[in-house]
Amino acid sequence: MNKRINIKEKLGKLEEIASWFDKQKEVDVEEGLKKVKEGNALVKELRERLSEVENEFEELKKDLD
Amino acid sequence: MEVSVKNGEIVLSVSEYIERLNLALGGEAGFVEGEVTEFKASAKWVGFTLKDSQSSVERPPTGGLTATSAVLKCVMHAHMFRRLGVAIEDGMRVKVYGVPRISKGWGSLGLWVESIEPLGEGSLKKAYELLFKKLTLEGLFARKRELPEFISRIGVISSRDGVVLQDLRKNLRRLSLRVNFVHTQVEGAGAVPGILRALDYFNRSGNDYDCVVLIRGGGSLESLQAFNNEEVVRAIYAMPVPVIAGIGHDVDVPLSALVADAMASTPTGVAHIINATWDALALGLPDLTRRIHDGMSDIVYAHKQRVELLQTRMHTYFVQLFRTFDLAAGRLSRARERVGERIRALQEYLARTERLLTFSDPIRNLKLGYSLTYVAGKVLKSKKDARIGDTLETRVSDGLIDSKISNIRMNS
Repeated sequence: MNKRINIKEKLGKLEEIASWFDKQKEVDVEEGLKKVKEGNALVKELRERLSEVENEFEELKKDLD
Repeated sequence: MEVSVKNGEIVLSVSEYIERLNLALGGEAGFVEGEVTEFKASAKWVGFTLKDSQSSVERPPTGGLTATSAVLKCVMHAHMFRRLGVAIEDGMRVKVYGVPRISKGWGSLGLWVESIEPLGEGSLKKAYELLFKKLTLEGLFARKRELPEFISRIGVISSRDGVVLQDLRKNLRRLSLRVNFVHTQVEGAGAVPGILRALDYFNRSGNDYDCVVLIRGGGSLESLQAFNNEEVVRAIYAMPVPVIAGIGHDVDVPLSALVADAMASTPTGVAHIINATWDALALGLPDLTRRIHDGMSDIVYAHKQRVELLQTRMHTYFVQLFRTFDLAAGRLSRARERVGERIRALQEYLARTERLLTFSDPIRNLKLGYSLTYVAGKVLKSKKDARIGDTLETRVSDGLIDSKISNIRMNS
């Protein structure tokens, strides 16, 4: 079972990374690569957690039906 | 002492005599039934005359026979009368309980009444109508408080002997209800004080309850007297929380039911009233559920979209970087092609030149039979540069030939 992550916090970090890229005028490939690695890990975590949330939510909905 | 003995006879004052009579009458307290006439009420006293409805034959001191109705003066303290909660009017048949007494001031016999109870449908109906009219004028029946939503704390006043309580419980929805029951007599002499005590108990509990329910099975107007009692009606009106009455009745709705904030004629009806306070939730729940579900779906969808968007923003940077590399590589490739073409062109030029040079080689031409002639070290190109007698040096492919000019001619 995945460790429960704080979606809001992780989204905030991902937002920071995306903004970092938006601001870059000069290419710093090494730094960029580091950010992409970090960002990809966050995307993966968030996708998994959001799927879990969605599934959990669907189960809850079924309980009421 | 106003007692004197005169000639061996005990002589009493009027006052003493009446006191003696009253002492003797003290043991004659009891119930008397009759028709009310000359009813009068003041701030301190209530007075009326009770009479038998049937005439009796009497021989008056003046002689002869007279048909007359027996009468009894009755008096009662106004505050006691008010506490009785019964409306009285001339013509009503009542049963009173009292102590007979002779008034010193008036010298007449009267009954000091302690309780009055209307008798018969007619009197009861009359009492009901009188009280109904009075309390209507006061506005007691006009006030209806809204029942709170989701009633769950219920105070019940009824008799444990009937089935009404079971009926109420059976028909209440299976919700988390807290029912606090207070037993009271609902008929007979103990009914009014019992109901008043129960109402007082819940009144003192203040807002610990969402409502108070007063229930009783059906009955005749006579058996429902306690529920047409003025004090009971006023106590219901004074309750801090809404009261629901479930009192069975035939024609006339008991005044206790009329003053209640909601009423039904059966315990089942009361249960339905209480159940209905939950309807808002039952009806609104699907809508609330849908709103929660839609809201949550929107949140999940929005988050997923945001993650994808942020990922795209992050990757766009590298995609653009790679595109730049691709463009550069393309340009390099095209440049390479152009250089290649140039090299090829140069190679062709060289080949062409080589061929040209090959054809232009004087040695090759000498071998083919051509020769070069020099005069004084210079290549002879025109006859103008030659003079008869000059020495010519002619180069052929394999050596030099010297000769002298003997003649110069024009081209033919």
